[in-house]
Parts: sequence; C-alpha cells; structure tokens
Amino acid sequence: MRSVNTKKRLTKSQITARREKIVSFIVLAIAAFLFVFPLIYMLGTSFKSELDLQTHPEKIFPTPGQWTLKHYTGFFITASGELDNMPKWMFNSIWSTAATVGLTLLTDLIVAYVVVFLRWKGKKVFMKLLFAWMAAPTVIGTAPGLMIFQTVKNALGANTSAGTYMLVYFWLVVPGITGVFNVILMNNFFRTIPVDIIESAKSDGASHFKIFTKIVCPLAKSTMMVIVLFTFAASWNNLQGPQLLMAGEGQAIQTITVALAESYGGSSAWGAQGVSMATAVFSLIPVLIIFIFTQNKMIEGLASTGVKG
Amino acid sequence: METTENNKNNQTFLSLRHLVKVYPNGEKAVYDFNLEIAKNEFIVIVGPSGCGKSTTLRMVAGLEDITDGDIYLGDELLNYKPCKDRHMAIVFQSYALYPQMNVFQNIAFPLTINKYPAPVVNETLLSCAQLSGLIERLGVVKIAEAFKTVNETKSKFGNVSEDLAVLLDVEYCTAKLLVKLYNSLNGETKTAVESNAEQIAAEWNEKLAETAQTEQAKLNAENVKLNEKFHVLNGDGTEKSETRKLTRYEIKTKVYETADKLDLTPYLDKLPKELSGGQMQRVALGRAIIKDVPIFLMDEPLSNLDAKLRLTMRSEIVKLHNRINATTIYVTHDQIEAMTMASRIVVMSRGFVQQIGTPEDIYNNPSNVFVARFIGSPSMNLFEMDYDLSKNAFTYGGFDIPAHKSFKTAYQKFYAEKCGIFEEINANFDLAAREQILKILSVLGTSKVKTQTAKKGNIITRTADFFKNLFKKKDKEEVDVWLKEKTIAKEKLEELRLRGSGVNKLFIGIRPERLEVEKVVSGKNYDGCLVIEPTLTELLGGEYNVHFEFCGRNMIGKLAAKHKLSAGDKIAVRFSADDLYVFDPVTGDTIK
Amino acid sequence: MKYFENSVRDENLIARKRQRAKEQVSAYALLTPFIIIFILFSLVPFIMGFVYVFLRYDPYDVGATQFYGLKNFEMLFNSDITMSKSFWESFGPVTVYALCTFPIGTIVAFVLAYFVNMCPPGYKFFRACIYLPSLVSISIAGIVFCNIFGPSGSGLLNSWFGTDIDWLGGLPFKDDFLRWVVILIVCVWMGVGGNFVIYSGVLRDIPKSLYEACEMDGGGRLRKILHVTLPGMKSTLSLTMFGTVVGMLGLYGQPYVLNTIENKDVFVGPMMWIQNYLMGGLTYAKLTGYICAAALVLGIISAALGLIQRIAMADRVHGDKYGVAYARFAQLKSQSEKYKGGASQ
Repeated sequence: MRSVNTKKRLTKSQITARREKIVSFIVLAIAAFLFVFPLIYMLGTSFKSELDLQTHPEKIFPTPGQWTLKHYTGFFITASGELDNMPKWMFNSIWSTAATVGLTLLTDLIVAYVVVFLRWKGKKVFMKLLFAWMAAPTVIGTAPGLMIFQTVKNALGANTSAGTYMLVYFWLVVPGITGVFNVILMNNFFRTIPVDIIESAKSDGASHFKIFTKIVCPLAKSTMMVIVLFTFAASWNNLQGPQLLMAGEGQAIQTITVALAESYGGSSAWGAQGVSMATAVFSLIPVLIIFIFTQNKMIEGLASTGVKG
Repeated sequence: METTENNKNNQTFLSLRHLVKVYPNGEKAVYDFNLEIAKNEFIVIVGPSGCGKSTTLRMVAGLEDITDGDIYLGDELLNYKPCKDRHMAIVFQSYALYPQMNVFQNIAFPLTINKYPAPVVNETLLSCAQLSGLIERLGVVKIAEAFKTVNETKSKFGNVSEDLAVLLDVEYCTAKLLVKLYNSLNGETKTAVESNAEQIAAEWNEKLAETAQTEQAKLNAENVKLNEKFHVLNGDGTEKSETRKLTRYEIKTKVYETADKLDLTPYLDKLPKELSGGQMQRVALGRAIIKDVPIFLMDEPLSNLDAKLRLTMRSEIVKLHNRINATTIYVTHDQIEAMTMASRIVVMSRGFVQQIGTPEDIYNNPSNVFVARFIGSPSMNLFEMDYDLSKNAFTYGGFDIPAHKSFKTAYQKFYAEKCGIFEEINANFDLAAREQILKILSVLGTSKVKTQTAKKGNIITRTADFFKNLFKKKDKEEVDVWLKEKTIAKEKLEELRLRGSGVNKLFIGIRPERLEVEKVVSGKNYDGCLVIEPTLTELLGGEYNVHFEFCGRNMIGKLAAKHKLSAGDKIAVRFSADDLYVFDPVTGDTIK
Repeated sequence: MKYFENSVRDENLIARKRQRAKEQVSAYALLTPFIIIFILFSLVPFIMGFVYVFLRYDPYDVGATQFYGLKNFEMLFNSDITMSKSFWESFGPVTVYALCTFPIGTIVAFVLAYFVNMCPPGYKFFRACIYLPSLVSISIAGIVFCNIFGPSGSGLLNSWFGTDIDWLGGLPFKDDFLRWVVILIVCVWMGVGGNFVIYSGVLRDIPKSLYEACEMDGGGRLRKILHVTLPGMKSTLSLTMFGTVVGMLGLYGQPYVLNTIENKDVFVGPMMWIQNYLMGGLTYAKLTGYICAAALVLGIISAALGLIQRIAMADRVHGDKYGVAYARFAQLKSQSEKYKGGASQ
C-alpha cells in the first residue's frame, strides 16, 4: 500500500497555488505592460528624428542609428540666443513644489503631534472641525478665493512682473500646506504609536522637542513618504489652481504642467510631436525620482495608516 | 504488509506516518512525525514556540502541504484531500470569526454553504403516518390547543409550521401538513372543535388515508420501495441517499442546540466585535461542533484569553470533549494545559518529537533532558555530578552517594549502545545520520544549526547573488553545511568513548516536589541533609518555592507554608535516590 | 509632619498646573500658523462663497457691490439664458461618464490588487508599473494620448491599423462616443493606481486565518471572496467608489487636454464650466455671484453624495431577530413535554 504512495503527486492546494501564481503573473504582466506602454511610447517618440516622426506605420522606438537628442536640446536656448521658457517652467515647478512639500510635511508633523501628544483645551472641537472639513465641497470657495487674490493684487499694485510672480507663487504654495487629508493621515499614524514610548521618554526627562525629533519623526518615516509622494504629485501635477492664478499673464510665469497643457496639450500639439514628448519626459523625471525613492515605504505607509477609512 | 498491520490494530483511528514538512524557503519544520491516534483520544502536542507543533496540526487539517509521509483516517489516505473533505474542524488561536456575521450566522455558516449526504425520504407518506399517529395519540382537541398556544405567542419572525414542529416534536413536513388540514376547517368549527372532535378526527384520518393511498399507488407504479422509516430504497435494499443543502428549519434547530450547549443563546444577534474573548472562543467552538465531525483540531485556542478565563475554558473544553466524543488534537505551548487535558501528550522541540506518552508517563519517565525540563512547574532541578564507575557512586564534595546496584550495568549498557550508534553515524554520514545529530542538538538546546537560510536582500544584492551563483558550484556550499554536523558527530563519539571507564560528569535531575525541604529548628538533628540558607523564597499562598544554591546551580524546592520562613532562616534539604533522574550530558537521553 | 506633607503635595500640584498651562500655551502657539493660513485661504473663501451668491460683484469698484437677493439663483435656474443652459447641460455627459468610470475603475483596481496579493514573481515591479500612471500629470497624459489617438496623420493607432478614425473630435450627445472611450481609458489609466494601491494594502491586512476558516468550512474561491475578502474591504470599497464619483463631478483636466480644435470649448462637466468663466477675466468678473451660485449647486450635490455614502456605510443597529426566535424555540420546546404523552391525561 505504501509503495503506491512513494511517488508524491501534487496536492490540490499545491496545484491551485501554482495555478494562481501563473495566472496572476500573466494578468499582471499584461496589465503592467498596458499601463506603462503610453509612457514607453512617449519616451521612444521623444528620441525620434523628423524622418521617423513622419514615417507610416509609426514605430514605438526610433530606427536604430536615428536616435536624436534634438528635441531635448532644442528648448533650452531660443534661436535668438536667449534663455527659452522651458528651463523657466521647470524652475518654477521645482521650487514651488519643493516648498509645498517641505512646508506641508512640517505643518502636518507639528499639527498631528500637538493634537495627539499634547494636552490642551478644544482638542476635540478642533479634530471634529478637521473631519468636517474633509467632507466640505471646497469648490464653493474657488471663485471668492480668486476674487480675494485679485483684490490683493490690485491693492498691492503688483503690476511689475516680479511682483506678480511673487504673489502668484505665494498664493500657490501657502494655501496648499493646510491640506486636511494629510493632517488626518499623519494623525492616524501617530495614534498607533504606543503612548508608553512617549511617557517613558518624558519620564527620562526628554523635552517635547526632543521627543518630536528623536522618537516620533523617525517612527513616522513611512507615513511621511506617503505624504511626500501624494503632495509632490498633487502639487507638480496641479493644473486647475495655477491656471486660474496665471490666467492672462505671460508664459514665463507658468509651471511646467500648465505650460504643457496650454502649449502642447490637446488641440495645440499638432506638428510639435517630438518636442512635446521630450518636454513631457522632462517634466516626468522629478516625479519618477520621488516615486522610486518612496515607493517601498509608501505601500507600507498606506497599509498602516487610515487610508482604508 | 502494511494492510495486515492496519487490520490487526483496530484501535487506530487517525494515523500520522513519517510526516515531514519542509517550507519552500528550505527550512525544515517537522522531522519524521509518527503518531497513531485511537478514537476519542485527546492528544496534546506541546512544545516551545517554533517547534513545529502548529505546522503538524495544519498538515493534518490540510491547510499546509505535506512534504513527505502519510496521514490515514482509518484506511483512507488523506494527503491529497482538500481540507473540507477531511471530516475535521479546527479552532484557531485568533478565533477567525467572520466579522460581518452575527453569532447565529457564524455558527450556521458551515451548514449554509455545504451539501450533506442524507437519506431520501418520502415526505408525503412520512407525514401522513406521523400525523395519523399524532391524532390517535393526542386527539383533535389537544392539537387545537397546540394551535392556540402557537397563535397566542406568535412573533413577527414566527412561522406556524416551524413552531408546531417544535411544540409537537414532529418532522417539519408533518407540521406543514397539519397546518394545511387545520386551515381547511372553517372558522366556526375551529371555535367549536371540542363538540365535534370525533367528526373532525374521522374526517382528517380519511383525508390522510386517501393521500397516503394515492402516494403509495404512485410509488408502486414507479416501483419504488420504502423501508419502515419511509426512506427510499435502492434496488439492492440499501437506503438511497442524496447530498443536499440543509433546510432552514434544520439549520435553525441545529444552531440553537449548539448555542444552547455553549451558553451562547443570549448573544445570537451580537457581532464578534461586541463579544468578549471567552464568548468569541465559544462561538469558534460552536462553529466546529456544528459540523458534527469526528476530529477536532485546536491551535492554541486559549492563549488569547486571560489567565482566569483560560482556567474555566480549559475545563469546558475537556467536558465538551467527553460529551461529544470527538477525537481531539490540541496544540499548546503551555505544559499545564497539556498535563491537565491530555489523554496523551506529544512533546516536540525544533521539529523533533521528543516523547509521546500519557501525562503520568511523561512526568514520571521523561525520555530525555528536554522533556524533563519542559514538563513540570517549577521545572526540574538539574545539576552536574561526578559518577565513579568503579565505586558505582556519585561523588559530591568528597562524599559518596551510592547509586543503585543495577545502575552500573544500565550505565555500561547505555554507553555501549550509544557508542555503537555513533560509530555507525560517523562511518556513514547520510541524511538520516545528520537528522540524528540535529535531534540531539534539539534535546540539548545548544545553538541551532541553520539548515538553509533564504536571504532576502534588496534587488541589487539579490541580482548580485544570482550572478555569483551562476559561476559558482553549488555542492561546495552543501558540504560546508554538513561539515559542522560531521564535526559534532565526531566530537560526540570521542566523548562517548571516554565514558566507558573512570569518573565522568552526569546530569542529575530531581523534581522540586520530590525534594524534602524542612525548616531548620534548633536542637534537631539534620544528619544526611543539606543545611543551607535559601537565596530566595516565593510565597504562593499554601506553600513556598524555596530557591537555594547546590553544585553551583540554582535549585528550587517546595515547602508547606505552615511555618513562616523569615530572612536568615535555614532549610534542610534531603532527597531519596529513587527520585533522581540521570541524563547523559552527551546525548541528553535518560540513563536507566 | 502632616502639614509638611501637604505643602509638598501643594507644591507638586502647582508645578503640575504650571506644566499643564505651559503645554496648553505651546500647543496653541504651534497651531496658530496652521489655523491662520487655514482660515485665511480656505475657510474665509468658503464662507464668502455663501455670501457672494446673494451679491452682484463689481470688479471695477468693490464698494459698489450690491445686494442682489436670489437673482443669481433665478438666473441660474432660468434655462433661457445660454450660460445657465450650458451649465445644466454639462451635468449630462459627466453623469453618464461617472456611471461608466466608477464601476470599471473599481473593478479593475480590485482585480489587479487581488492578483498582486497572490505574490507572483516580480509582483513588486508590476505594482510599481500599475501605480506609476497615477503620478503622471494630466498634461502629459493629454500629450501622450493625443498622439496615440490622434488623426490619421499623426496618431499611433490610426497609422498602425491604417484607419482614419476621428477619436477626439466628438461633441456631447452627438458623435462623442469615441471621445468618451478615450477619456474613459485615460481616467482608468490615471485613476486605477491610487485605488489599486489602497486595495492591495487592505487585502494584505485581511487575516489569513479567516481564509483558512472559510476553507475548512468548505468554501471555495468564490465563497472566500464573498464572505471574507469583500466584507473585509467593505468600508474601503465604498469610500473609494464614492470618492471616484465625486471626483468625476469635478472632471476638468481630461476633456481639457483631450480635444480637437472644434470641441475645445465644449463644456463636458460643471467644473469645466466654472473654471472657464473664472478664467474669463474681467468680462465675467461681474458674474462672480452667479458663478458662486453654480459652484454652490455643484458643492451641494457632491456633499450630498458623500452623505449618502456615510449613511449607507453607518453601523446599522442590528435587531434581536435571532434572540427572539430562539426564546420562542426554547419556550415551545419546554412546552412540548405536555404533548409527549397521550391525549386523555
């Protein structure tokens, strides 16, 4: 009887496990390809020569030996030798996004710390207001906000391009740092830190500043990563807000996202395929870098914080 | 050959033969697990965490694949059966209750999703027969009374047929037929049932007979035969059976019965998150019981409960086991649970079975030093002593403690045997030999020899490793791993050989309960006792745990708390040589 | 002695009170910047939104702003005015569109998360690939997809298959089916990643023992999904689904960038309408109250959707159905003794 069984066949669960792996691999591979394909096409096209751009049927990558960097080098300096708009847009986007991310992170950490670890009156009301604000439709405030902006602009007499620039970017960066969703995300994470750790640090004589910098912040790394990625992507990709503030101003003031949408997007793109793709690739690079650095921590952070509702 | 053995050993119900588990990452969790379980046994697998006890249980349940070996239920091989067909129920440590279902739904869940084999019943004939019996037995008046009771206390969730079935203790189909008959009476007669009871009874009986006759005629035409219970028979006279889902009524009654058994009836509408740990535990038990399976598996079911609740649940589980008579395999790391609940205990360490036996057996005759230390609370006192073979005596501080006469021969026999085994191991160092070495290490508790560790680095180191391995020969590494055990085997053999003569160190063990501890009072003679000042005393209420130094080791004794032991008091310790356990320090096995 | 102890205790009390007060003050100090910015840039405009709907704003002379009563709403609900008509019409396409996107987006995200949870080789890479598009800005998506779905002269698909399909040229409720398909594809492409990552996080957190219990109880794959996976994700699913629908109401970028010359200014959503007139400069500035009224309508609709979601997902007070049924069962059972014997006793 035993001899029959000496040859082990696979159990049912082993077979299912194997089948699961194969099926999920195939499905995910196809899905991943479909999701990345447009980006690959973008990358390929940005290196195509004029000849490749006009051939039919189109290919995804340039013909070997025909790769060109022309579309990339083209937009730094204009034909007349001046600095082109492209570097300006990039600069605008980079500094404003970096400022937004940094300030948001700082605000979120401080507010969440104060809410979770300090004792003060009105805490419950404050939290309730924050949660209520999550459900508030902010679209109602868009038009009055713009009115206020314009009133302030007129009142300051900011008619010089430098003045306008400062005001527009102030208005772009500062309101963004009070994003309530991020505060609640951080707050949810801080609540998972056992109070014992904080108490024991306190009894060791650590000040709140020490506790904040030495204990809480290092623990919050993965949540910070989530917020960095979310805020970075949201700020970098913001189209509506800047479009409103920059309406009627010159091109030089725009962020790269606004510029891309207005100069190369949709109906305006015809005939500039190579350049538009190269610009798009260029503007994707910062997001990509942030993504690569944060993605491992981010998944972890998403799983551990209250995104699940 | 195996089959004949099976037939001979009728007692065996569930048999685990040479079970081996190797995880996909190469770690071996269970080595050669053998156990024959008789019906209604309560087996407890006990061991420290990570010893493979849960893995073994999960292999039996079918949640984990078996790498090697077989599991038989009777004569049926279970290895390749999915877990739902293994006739087992498992209770998890985390209870695993469905959070969205209330207690009733949780307990009912296995019944609602599965089909169960049941005999095919001809409901028409059954209900006719049962009903005419009922009319004869109770009379129409009493039946009408029953209807009145049901209608008076009717609730919005009620169903008259179901209620009647419960009240009159008849089948659901019979109750349904009765309701049909009763409703065919017009309202007038309903009130005046008493006056014309005879007439109604006659009417009903006539109707029933008629229905039964037509049904019987139909059956005859189709050539279907029934037995006396109205079960449909196959051509060869056996009962025909079908697999079907249980009806709502059947599920209800079963859940109520189970909930009643476990005192869960006040909580039927509660969600798991509204229950306490003990209640959740009982729901999990209920879900297992309701499946009505012959084998229960429990994976540390009490370890999430607080100490007091654990005690009560412990006795409840034993009582439950005695009542429903299911064979139980219970996994725990708590040796007290093992001792109190088990009919047989399996002690495991690092994937090896150390000993299998009844609680008394395990406690009184531990097979090796690991079992001796693991079972018993406080655990066994162990210390080293020199044994002089020529004198057949243990020496301690210049004194000789004579050993039993037979010990000398036992000692010599033990070492001769062990030497033989180790010579063979060294001569032919194969996989089995290596496992023997690993087992000895698991007994002694010395550093674990890692079999294989699947390193999980980041993507860069992993790719680097991949390329490194491409150009490297694999078997070189394997030899290295084996080398460690080979040297151990050689060392052990040399040590064993030395033990054939002269004075050698042995492990001596004695249970704290067997030490005779006495408080020293002046004027009494304490010859032959160790008089010493305790290093620490712990009052447990009825008795003291007394710690003291002996042979450079911390020892624990027990002293009844009749006399108060205060600081500076001395104690006298004495023990009988019969209570000593002697272990071989090389292999850890008991010498007897 | 006793007096001394008391004074020590009092001193401690005072010190603790002082500590408390200090903590209180520093808490308020730390929160002040956040609160000020929040009030100035978020709360004040929000409240002003409710005020402006009753005003007629004068961009040239703010002092000349006058109370306008409900006239803004009258205008908005008067479909004879072209602007109002186009506002209400813009809800049409966006509703159709939301109804298509949210099931597709949710199901695709769930299926992909479910497969990622099986951990096939390289799943981390796949996960990153699927999440990546949700970080891409709508401008880039516009450029890339306009090139893919472009006309026969430059579009990738048209040139591959040698066809001449006008993907992006449609007008709402006329010939815009293909344009909707493209917008839908872009929305799924960009929107699935976020939900997908959240789902895979939640899926990972569902206790394994529940699956095992279900397996022991005899449940197959479908039962496991039905009784373990979906209940475990219920709150997340509802949250993300309604999030998607509300997000759809604010649809702006996709139709803005995926267009051709002729439908460049067609409003396919109320958000696009609002944005367009806000960017209109001084011409439309005097209509601020009117635009605010439109924004208020949009805001109320999305808030109502959120409220519906909350009510639907609220913990229902469960009844005592089974308890009552059992009590009755037990009662009848105990009475059944009476009917065990014969009739006459």
